[in-house]
Amino acid sequence: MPISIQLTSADFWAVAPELILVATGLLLVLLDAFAKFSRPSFPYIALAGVVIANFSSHYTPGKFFAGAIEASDLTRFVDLLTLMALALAILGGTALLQRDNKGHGEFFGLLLWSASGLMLMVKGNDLLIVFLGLELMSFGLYVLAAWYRELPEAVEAGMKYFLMGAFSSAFLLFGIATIYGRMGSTQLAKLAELSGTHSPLLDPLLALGLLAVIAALGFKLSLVPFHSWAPDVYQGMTTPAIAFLSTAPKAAAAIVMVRVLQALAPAGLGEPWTPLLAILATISILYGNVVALAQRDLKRMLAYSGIAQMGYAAIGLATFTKDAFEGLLFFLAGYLITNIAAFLAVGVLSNGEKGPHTLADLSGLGKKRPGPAWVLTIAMISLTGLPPTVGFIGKLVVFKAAVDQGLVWLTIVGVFGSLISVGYYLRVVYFLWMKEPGREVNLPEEDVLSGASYLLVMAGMLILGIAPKALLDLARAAASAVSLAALR
Amino acid sequence: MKAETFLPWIPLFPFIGFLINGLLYLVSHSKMGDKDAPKGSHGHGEGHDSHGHDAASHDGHDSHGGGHGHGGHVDIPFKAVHSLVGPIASGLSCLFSLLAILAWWQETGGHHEIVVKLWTWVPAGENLTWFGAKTLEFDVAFRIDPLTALMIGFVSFIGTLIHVYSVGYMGHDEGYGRFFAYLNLFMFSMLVLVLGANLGILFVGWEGVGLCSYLLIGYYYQKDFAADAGKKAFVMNRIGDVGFILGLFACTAMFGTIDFTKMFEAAAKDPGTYAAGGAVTAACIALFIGACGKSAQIPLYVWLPDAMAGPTPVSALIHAATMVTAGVYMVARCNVLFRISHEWAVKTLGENASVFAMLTHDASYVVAVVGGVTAFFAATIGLAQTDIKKVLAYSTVSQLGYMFLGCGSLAFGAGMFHVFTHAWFKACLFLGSGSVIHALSGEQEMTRMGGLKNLVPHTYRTMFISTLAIAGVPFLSGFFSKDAILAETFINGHPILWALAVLTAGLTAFYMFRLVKMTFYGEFRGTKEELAHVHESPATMTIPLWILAGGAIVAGYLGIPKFILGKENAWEKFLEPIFPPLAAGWMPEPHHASHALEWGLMMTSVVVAGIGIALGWAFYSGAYPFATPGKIAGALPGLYRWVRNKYFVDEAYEWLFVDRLIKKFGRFLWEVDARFVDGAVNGSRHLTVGGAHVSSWFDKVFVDGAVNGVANVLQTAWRGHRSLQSGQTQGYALAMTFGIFGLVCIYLILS
Repeated sequence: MPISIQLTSADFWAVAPELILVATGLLLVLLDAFAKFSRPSFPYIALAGVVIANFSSHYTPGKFFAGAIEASDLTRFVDLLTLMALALAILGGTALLQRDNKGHGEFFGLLLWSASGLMLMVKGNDLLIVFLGLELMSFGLYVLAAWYRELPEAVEAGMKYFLMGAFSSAFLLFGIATIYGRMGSTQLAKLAELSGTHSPLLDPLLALGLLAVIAALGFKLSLVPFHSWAPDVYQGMTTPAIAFLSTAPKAAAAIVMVRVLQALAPAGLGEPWTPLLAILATISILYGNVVALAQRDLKRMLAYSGIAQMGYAAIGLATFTKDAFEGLLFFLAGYLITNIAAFLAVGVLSNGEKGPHTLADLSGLGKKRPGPAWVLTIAMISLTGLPPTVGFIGKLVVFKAAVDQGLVWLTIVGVFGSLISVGYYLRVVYFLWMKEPGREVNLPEEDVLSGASYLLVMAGMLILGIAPKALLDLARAAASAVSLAALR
Repeated sequence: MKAETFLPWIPLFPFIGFLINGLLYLVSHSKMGDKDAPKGSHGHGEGHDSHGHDAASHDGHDSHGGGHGHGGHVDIPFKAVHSLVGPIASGLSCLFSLLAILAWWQETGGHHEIVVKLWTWVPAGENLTWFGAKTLEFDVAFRIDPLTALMIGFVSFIGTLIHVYSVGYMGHDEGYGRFFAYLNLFMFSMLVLVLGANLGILFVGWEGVGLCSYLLIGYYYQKDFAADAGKKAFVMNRIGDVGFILGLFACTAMFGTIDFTKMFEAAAKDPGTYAAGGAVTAACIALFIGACGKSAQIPLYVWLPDAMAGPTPVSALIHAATMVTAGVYMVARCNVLFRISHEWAVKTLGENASVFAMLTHDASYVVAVVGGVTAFFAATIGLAQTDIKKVLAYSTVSQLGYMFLGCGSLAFGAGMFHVFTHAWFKACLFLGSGSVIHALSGEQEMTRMGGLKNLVPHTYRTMFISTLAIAGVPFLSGFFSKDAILAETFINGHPILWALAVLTAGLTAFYMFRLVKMTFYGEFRGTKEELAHVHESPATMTIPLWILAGGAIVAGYLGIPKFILGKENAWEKFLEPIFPPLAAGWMPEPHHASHALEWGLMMTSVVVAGIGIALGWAFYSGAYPFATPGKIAGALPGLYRWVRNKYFVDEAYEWLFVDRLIKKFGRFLWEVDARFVDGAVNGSRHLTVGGAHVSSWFDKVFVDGAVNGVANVLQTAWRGHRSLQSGQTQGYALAMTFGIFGLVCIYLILS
């Protein structure tokens, strides 16, 4: 059957943000090659690209490119989150990069391209587009992981991330192929139609395919037991890049997981799947939180903290109701702002990108650098999940949806995990404000951009914690794009 | 004016004060630690030096008087502003509390509550449903009713007194502005806690006061013991908070709302439905675990004595008068639930159930037992402490136990009455001890005091009055409130707990008179030099002391029992609206005691208190070391050692939870991590470092300019090769593969 596809301008408007990011990235790489003197303006150009991409993201909901891409309030939400993460990483990270003279055009280019892949992945209505987006996203990050290529740690991080990423991609492809083999389609909408009202998930072949997909996405989410790359990569990767990698891709992976699960089980998850996801959530929360207690390197600590946080997110996945998805979206948005805040502050309150980021180096920095110290303090409070921060509301809505669905024990695990997490989050605050300075720490200069990033993240963490309605409304609108059962 | 207009301002004033004090402090201190910053513009260098000086002196104590008596003047930037802003912010909130109470009284005659909704915090939506029809929504809203009126009244008033006192007490401290910022923030949180119209806002205040408590305990953060004490308090409180959060969730699940009015109306109307299966009891016990953390009850009490590492005004305000009573307040606030739990237990088990059965069915029974046992247990520890603040700390734990005993006996009014009277005399005792410590330039050991009676006359007199009050001497405040609790305990069917509480009253009288005798009577036991420095505190400190001592005398007259006065107990009548009647069949038969019994109970406790006072007076007369207590300690060396060391509870916790559980388990997981992850990383690092040397040489020689790209590929490939050879990445991949196998296995088992 010959295939003819009519493309209209609406098709291109649907991916306009991606196109703009790609173009901005290209421009920066070319400028770096032919007009090196313009380097100081790169962050501004990149930011301009992000802002324009944000304004161009006003497509009408619907299916585009012959049903391969679906634009909705959900994808708009993800666009917003991604661009937000990009903007914060660029604002806060530029000072760190320029200190080591590492603010090349490629850095911004790779970051923007990676982000465009991420947005494409969520827009994909076809598993192959999802795969394509995921790979585009990952390739940029592989290179960024090894950005300080004269440092053994960075090269190690890049190499490990690449190898493990390739391994997980193989699983994803295997899963997609198996699903295609069983169902005869890779389109999510078609799959949902074929699955009908009864869940076909008890079919062993299909189950194997889905398990492979869960494992691959679990790798991106760094859920235990697919987490082992995270501490090394976090430790070796440069701060602005890890601030991005540790947030936006995880949000995207979680959302894609919801979409795939919905396509294969439109009537709700059945018996083996809810406990399965719940087990992943439980071991991630417990393992991440307990091991984080023993960490003395801040980036490694944040890696294990991220494992635990994604465990909380997995509670939302296991619950799998409309409420849970809303809660999950809110939680991910809050986590995004908070974690970026934490990383940027850790980057500024250290000897620089080339040395380790030890906890002891934070001693007494509260007085020296109150700005980033407060950012880090509030970020730690938000990660712990205490009011009045966004982290509190995020956990509240996710846990509430889980209790609603009868997953009380899972909520208790979550609360217990949060209790353990106080130990290491609070230790950071303790070192910042209550310890006398130890060895001399050579802090990088702060500039206007990083000042702006502090204000943004502080406002984000506090305002969304005190008056979360606007974001909750956005999350609700976004969640309605995926038709999940309201309650079982 | 209406009460609605005043309410939001009550917490707002301290918050504004916090912002001003905090910002000024940050502005004047932000560059202090920075070695590169230009020095000396405001004399900061000098202020900084006094840290080291301070740290060297009297380790292990509230390090008050850093500059005082040791020479060295501390220059405090914006001192005048801090001295004004802190007390005024608190004073305004006190004024507005009074205005709000008056307006509320005029509008409602004290019969029902007024709620002000500020904005919706967590909005309800079509999808945020809870059991179908019910939606969870909670607002940022304040309410005023008899209970809140009472709390905001004394919290803001005593808070203001302590702010004024601190102007004198903290006057030599380098962190003056920081102190007032924290103190104002505490006032804000505490007022939010008591004003909150739902469990959510209460929780916000609850966490806020916990945070301020943590910050103020660790106020002298340069000292490890203060920072450790702060951490201990925070951890203990978090354990309690897990209970609180579970209770909050339980309430949401049961009622679909956490608004007090709606929750309690629903519960009072239909107790049977909610009590079925012990749901209410579970929620109550969860909430009570939270109260145990905040109000330092067994087994979570160990943080409070350590909290004495904070400055003394903090001990008086937070760790005696206000914050620690938040648990009692919360239990009294939720009295409907505790009453339902009790009635349900009686209905299911019958009148003559065993103690064990009652403990598993009746939440109020648990409250009573924990309160009674804590009261006794802490009082025995107080007998053998020689640090003046530690004695008062254990006394506080013990008195809090009394309050819970009252609430657990379903005499919530009596429990709150003791909260009220205790706030006056205990704040006075703490501030008095602060004044003594101030006079002795930081000395806290009673073994090094003595004979101060005439040297610090105001401090002595006010402390003596408060000691009489706490000992239960008739016609002072503590007598009325303690007696109300004892009587209710006996009448409501806890004779054993009553006996324990009466015994505790005797112990209390004994250790308090021991404190007074050791501090103010006999010969001074310090050095001559110290004696020469002793002086009475300034007026900013003695005036608050006298006001509090006045309160310690008269506060009790608000609640004179009916059998003495002949007319109704004014306190109980005032609080009546917060105890709504339950549905028919759920109201207990009121226990009516004969007047003779009530007089008899009262006489018993007076006699026991008298014996305690007499023994305390007699044992601690004569020359130091005192003969009789020494003999007793000598005769029972084992018992003395246990009591003196607080029954080794701290050590047991440390051994069991910190060493065994957390360290071992954490260590185990860390080992796993180290074996499989860190070890591998280290191994590969040696290889890659070698590689890096080669490649940097490669970089220099071949790779300048145009061949960058090619070199990148070569390097990366080369290092990738090395990395692969090290074996660890396979380890990761293996872990992932096993993970998938695990998932498959779980899938097969589950389906």
